[in-house]
Amino acid sequence: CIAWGADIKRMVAELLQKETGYCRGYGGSMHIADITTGNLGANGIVGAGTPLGVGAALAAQVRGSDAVTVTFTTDGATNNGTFMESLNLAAIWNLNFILIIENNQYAVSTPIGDSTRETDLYKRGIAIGVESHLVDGNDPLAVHDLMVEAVKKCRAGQGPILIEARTFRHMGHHVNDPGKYMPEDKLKYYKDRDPVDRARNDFVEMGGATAAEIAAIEKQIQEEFEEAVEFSKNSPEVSVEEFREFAAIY
Amino acid sequence: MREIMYRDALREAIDEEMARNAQVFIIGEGIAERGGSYKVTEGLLAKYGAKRVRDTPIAEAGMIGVGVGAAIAGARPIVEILYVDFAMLGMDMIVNQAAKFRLMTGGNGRVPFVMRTQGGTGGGVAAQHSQSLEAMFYSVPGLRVVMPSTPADAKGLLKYALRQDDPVMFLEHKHLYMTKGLVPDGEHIVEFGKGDIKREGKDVTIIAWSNMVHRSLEAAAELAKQGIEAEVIDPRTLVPLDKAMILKSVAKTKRAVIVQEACRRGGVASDIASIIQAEAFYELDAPVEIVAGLDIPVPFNLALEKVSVPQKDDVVAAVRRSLHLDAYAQAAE
Repeated sequence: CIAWGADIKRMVAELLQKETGYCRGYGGSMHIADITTGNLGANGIVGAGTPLGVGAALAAQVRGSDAVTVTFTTDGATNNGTFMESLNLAAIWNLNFILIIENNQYAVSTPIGDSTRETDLYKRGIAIGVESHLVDGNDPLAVHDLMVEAVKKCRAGQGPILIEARTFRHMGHHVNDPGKYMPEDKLKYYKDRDPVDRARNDFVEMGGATAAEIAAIEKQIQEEFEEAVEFSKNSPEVSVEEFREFAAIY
Repeated sequence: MREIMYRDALREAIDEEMARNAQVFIIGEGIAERGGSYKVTEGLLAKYGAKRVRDTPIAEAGMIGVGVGAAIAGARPIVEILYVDFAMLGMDMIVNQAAKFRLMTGGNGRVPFVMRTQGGTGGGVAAQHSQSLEAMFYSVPGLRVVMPSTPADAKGLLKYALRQDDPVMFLEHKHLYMTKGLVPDGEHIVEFGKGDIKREGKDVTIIAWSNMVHRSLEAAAELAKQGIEAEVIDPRTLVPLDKAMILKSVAKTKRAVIVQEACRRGGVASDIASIIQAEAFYELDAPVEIVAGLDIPVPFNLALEKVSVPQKDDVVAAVRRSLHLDAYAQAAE
């Protein structure tokens, strides 16, 4: 969202339930959306983003636009019926749609092997004639290159495309989940391959940025978040009066 | 004015709105080449092409979901679902997505999504093809619930649905597609939230929607022979509901009989009855009567199907009770 131009101040304000939030504090962390920047919103219902994304791609095709819609979903969502229903619709209509499965191998605490016999999730796309890829989700440059290719292919009429980005969590599902169910050795394997560390090293190695430049960017990010928190704390509370007016439309 | 069928009126609405706005498109099972099970979409494929008139696989959750997604992204999709019973497969998309989006985005996001489907009994199509499920949608804030009873209302309301920006459950009735009625020439639009008096009367108010409007009109004709002048009012849209029209009529007649094909329990009729008792209690000369379907899945057998949903005689009996001409029904019945 931030790469697409979302304002961190308004995102943090939404988390803090303020009037200045993207959704006036009516949506919350699960539902931040900003139609103006093409962010159609996250979802509180696991798996629901896939049909909605296919719908946005359908809208683009109907209006003759070459816009590409990307939905980020998860391994946990792939066993929901709408996953196949909507990916299949995208396939029969050749939509400019890219589905990224962030396969972190756990649905809350259930390991992927308990949810499906075939843990190579990209194969599901192949089953219905969708070009499908597996990529190391902890390798940011590999993900980037594949995405660039996928967007090109969509625009050339070869969509939809499915990408399984395999990764792992570094902690539990939510703040009160210590994540004890994750095996130590596997956790260590993936922590040693932290995508942020990898990106940092890759950039320096490839000469894209110096260590000092990266440190400066990170400092700037830190400051922007601090500013956003400050902005949100100083933002007005929502108005109950205005809420009652809003409620009248229902 | 021309006399046309309900299904033709629906087709005219879609045709006119597709011609007027390139964002309007329609998807559904067998709606393109075949023209739909009720012939509503006949000829639209030839006129508007395969981009805007699309057949889908049998995948209601997916179809409804992509319709909602397209609406969020600014298009104006119509998703045709063969039977309202099948819409249950897409309830997450209707209830958790379409209905919530406007509020969840603080009012910035809109969902101009129209789901056209049909319900009600229709001559032995059994339990999974005969339901009247409007109360489910009625109880979910964020949805508009539309139930046209005549060709003119069907056309005008569908055209309005395709010009406003909230998700619409457009609930047709399978028994009505071949019925005829007068439809105004030229542009004909019916706004949501404006009911219609289908027959004027002074003795009792009958409130009915969809196919029950016709049962109620038949009952009113019979009551007229008995010297009773029933007013039949049709809210046309259940959300938003034309409360003012209902209360005004009840203030005039002092009596209300609400007729719904849906089962009695948890129905829209109960809610309208509660509105009348809360806001017009001192106007009433009799308890509000509800005539509704039995609390039972609709059986296949035609004789039993008939018993399961209100008939003309049930409406006549309820009106006579409210006029104190016959004894009240026992609470246990």
